[in-house]
Amino acid sequence: MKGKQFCKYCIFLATMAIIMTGASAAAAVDVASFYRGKVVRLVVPFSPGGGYDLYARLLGNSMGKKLKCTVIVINKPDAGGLVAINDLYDTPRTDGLTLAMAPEGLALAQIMKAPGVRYNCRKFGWLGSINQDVRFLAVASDSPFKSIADLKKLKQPKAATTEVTAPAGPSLAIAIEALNMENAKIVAGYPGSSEVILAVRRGEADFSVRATAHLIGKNAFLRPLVVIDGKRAPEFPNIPAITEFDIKPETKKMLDIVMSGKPSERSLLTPPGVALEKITFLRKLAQTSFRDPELLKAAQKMALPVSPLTGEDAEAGVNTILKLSPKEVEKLRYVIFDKYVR
Amino acid sequence: MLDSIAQGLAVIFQPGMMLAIFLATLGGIIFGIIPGLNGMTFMAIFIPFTFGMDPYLAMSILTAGYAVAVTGGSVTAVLVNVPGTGPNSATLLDGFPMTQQGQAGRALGAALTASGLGGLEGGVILALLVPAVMPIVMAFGSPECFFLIVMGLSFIAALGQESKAKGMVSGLLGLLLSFVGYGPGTGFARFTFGSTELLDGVKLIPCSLAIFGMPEMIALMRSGRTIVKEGTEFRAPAADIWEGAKDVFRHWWLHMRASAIGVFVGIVPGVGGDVAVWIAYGHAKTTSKHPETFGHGNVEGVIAPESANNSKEGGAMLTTLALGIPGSGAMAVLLGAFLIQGIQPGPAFLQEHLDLAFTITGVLILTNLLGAAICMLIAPTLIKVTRIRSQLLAPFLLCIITLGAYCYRNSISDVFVMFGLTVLGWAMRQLGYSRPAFFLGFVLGGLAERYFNISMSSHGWKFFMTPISLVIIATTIISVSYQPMMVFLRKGKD
Repeated sequence: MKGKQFCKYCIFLATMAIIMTGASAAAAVDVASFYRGKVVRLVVPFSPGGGYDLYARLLGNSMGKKLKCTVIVINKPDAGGLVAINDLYDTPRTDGLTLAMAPEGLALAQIMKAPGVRYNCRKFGWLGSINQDVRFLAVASDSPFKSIADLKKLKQPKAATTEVTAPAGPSLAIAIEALNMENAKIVAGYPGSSEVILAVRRGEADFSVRATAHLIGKNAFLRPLVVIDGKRAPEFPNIPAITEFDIKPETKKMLDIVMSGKPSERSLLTPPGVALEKITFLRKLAQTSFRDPELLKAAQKMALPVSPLTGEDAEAGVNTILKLSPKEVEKLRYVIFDKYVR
Repeated sequence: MLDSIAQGLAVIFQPGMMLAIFLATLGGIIFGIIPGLNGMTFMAIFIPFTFGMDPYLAMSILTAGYAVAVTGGSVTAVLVNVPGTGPNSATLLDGFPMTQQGQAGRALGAALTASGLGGLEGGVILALLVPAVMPIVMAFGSPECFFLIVMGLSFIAALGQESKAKGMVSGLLGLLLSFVGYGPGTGFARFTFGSTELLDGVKLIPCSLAIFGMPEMIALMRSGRTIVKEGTEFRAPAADIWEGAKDVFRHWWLHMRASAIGVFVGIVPGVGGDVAVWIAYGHAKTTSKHPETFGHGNVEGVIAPESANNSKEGGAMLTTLALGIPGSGAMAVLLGAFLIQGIQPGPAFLQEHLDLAFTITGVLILTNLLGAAICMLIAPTLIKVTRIRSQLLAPFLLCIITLGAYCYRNSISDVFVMFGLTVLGWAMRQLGYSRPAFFLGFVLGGLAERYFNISMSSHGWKFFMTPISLVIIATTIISVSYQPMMVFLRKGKD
């Protein structure tokens, strides 16, 4: 009797599973047919021609083919991406036809109450990131500094950056804190990456934090000293990761926060209010596009690295930051804005 | 080397390539003529079409359209006092008064010839200066950039036409407006009244349209007449344009100096073309035999900024190609276009793709000459705009100006900012405050603050103690005090 009941139970479960799978497949088909022939707007918060724009155009091309729709890339380069993300948050378009590519540090800006932030990261639909730049603490390629110890010997090592709030800014301040370079000074305000690189190269500053693209090639202006990540970078296997250094526990937590904030970088977003089945569908689609051989080939040609991250992981990374206590936020704010910007 | 030059230039003269360059030049002129659109917009719109295109063709199209936009922009600056692109703002100071005096053809002839030749010289200098670019870029740190900008700011006094005091007040007002938005480096917002749209500050195009274009349109509507003053005698447009072209050769030494200023400022990353034209204009005025006629239709005031305008692209292109360092926002876009082609500009680029570098240089030269020639051909027709009654012309131009303010960033807030600043522009016009001085303060204020902060932070208060800084300071003092000193000495003699 028990065996019969067990069989019935199994049949019931199997039937339910088939119904659920069928329903979800039907929902996916429904969502797929919704997108067919439509126009999807992919908002890029930076200027055309930059890294974000190139990734977005590659993704737009791949997703458009898969969805059988037209994806148009719209550039809204203002206030470090703030205007674009605020607009996405405020948009009444919840039909899933508007997407955006998130800049790095979105959650960090929210908890630190950066000027102009109107959005709430929890309400966006996180679809996954195509790539998160690995950053390095780097010196001029012809400089005598071979290690962090050499930099520490300076009376006041100077670090160049664009804005303390720009993506590289928090990484720079936290790396200085983690590496215990107490006498370091951040010189902020350079108009762009080019000016930062030149400032380090001509000796106006001693080091900076830059992404892989600025360090590769025999004619690169900068040379990496430390990877600001949990592991070494395949491009520079001899360069130590920052976690290999002796880091105070409280600083380690800040470092983790800055590193866990990276998942928002280049992640596709939907505005608040988009139906869950559309978000689930778009998450799967994004993952397929991130691994699209045609996209990977084009990205390789453009020297754009691809290291995909799922929507769930991106959301989890963002939530880690949003859960920080006010005291932790205050400490973070002090290190990023005040301690080294003298 | 010679092989690369020959190969690079031979590519340009293939029929398909010639056609593409011609069409891109036409497109660039149209983008330049329409306020709000510029060379950077041209590149931004056409970059997606270059996916999968031959790199020579792709880079030629983008270079041609981008480089010639400022030539198109000079047409609207001269004819209707509306700068087609940001760097054309200095051209209208003397170009438009010349138009009002019935010399539109001459002003256009001078502007277009200076543009074409400036672009030619910029291209030639681009090719010649490749070995010297690294030392120049390395020599210009933040203190040197700061003093270069201060040199530009020193012309505020020179731009105050009737009253020096009013000129200074106008310049300070411009400086004040430039401080709206994020403070450099800090990420803290200032004077934004809580508006997200103002976080990045007031943008150049809406401001130039509000300060120069809109007040002129209002004045035109109130007068009920044509742009050209009544009773003005007209010459045949072709003869007038030819006269303007000859003016450039009459003032060839000024043209060469202004072109050199353009190339030089273009090379220095982070300073930008908007600075180049004002330094060129200020330099022309302070070294002119008739500085009092500047702002009232002196052709030298058209030649200098237009020469610098187009030659600066050679300088900006130089750092982009030779070092992989974009000297301006537009060059950053061009760098992105290179990456799409799988090409990384930089020192290795010149070794591996020297032929492509010469193709781009050749296109830069060719498109500037072609652009100037096309504009000269259509100029006689365009000049007729100045004889249309204001009741018909002004509403049309107001629509174009409003559209220009909007399509600069696809932002309606820019339109509101423009209307708000129009009140200021109109008040300054009526009360005789110098609008060029205001605009110069606005353009250079943000950069001056930025480089002052960096210089103080990295070098301390002794930041001016570098040889190049001291030379620039000395040049600034001499250029500012030269004319008052001469006047003083002449009075002493009398």
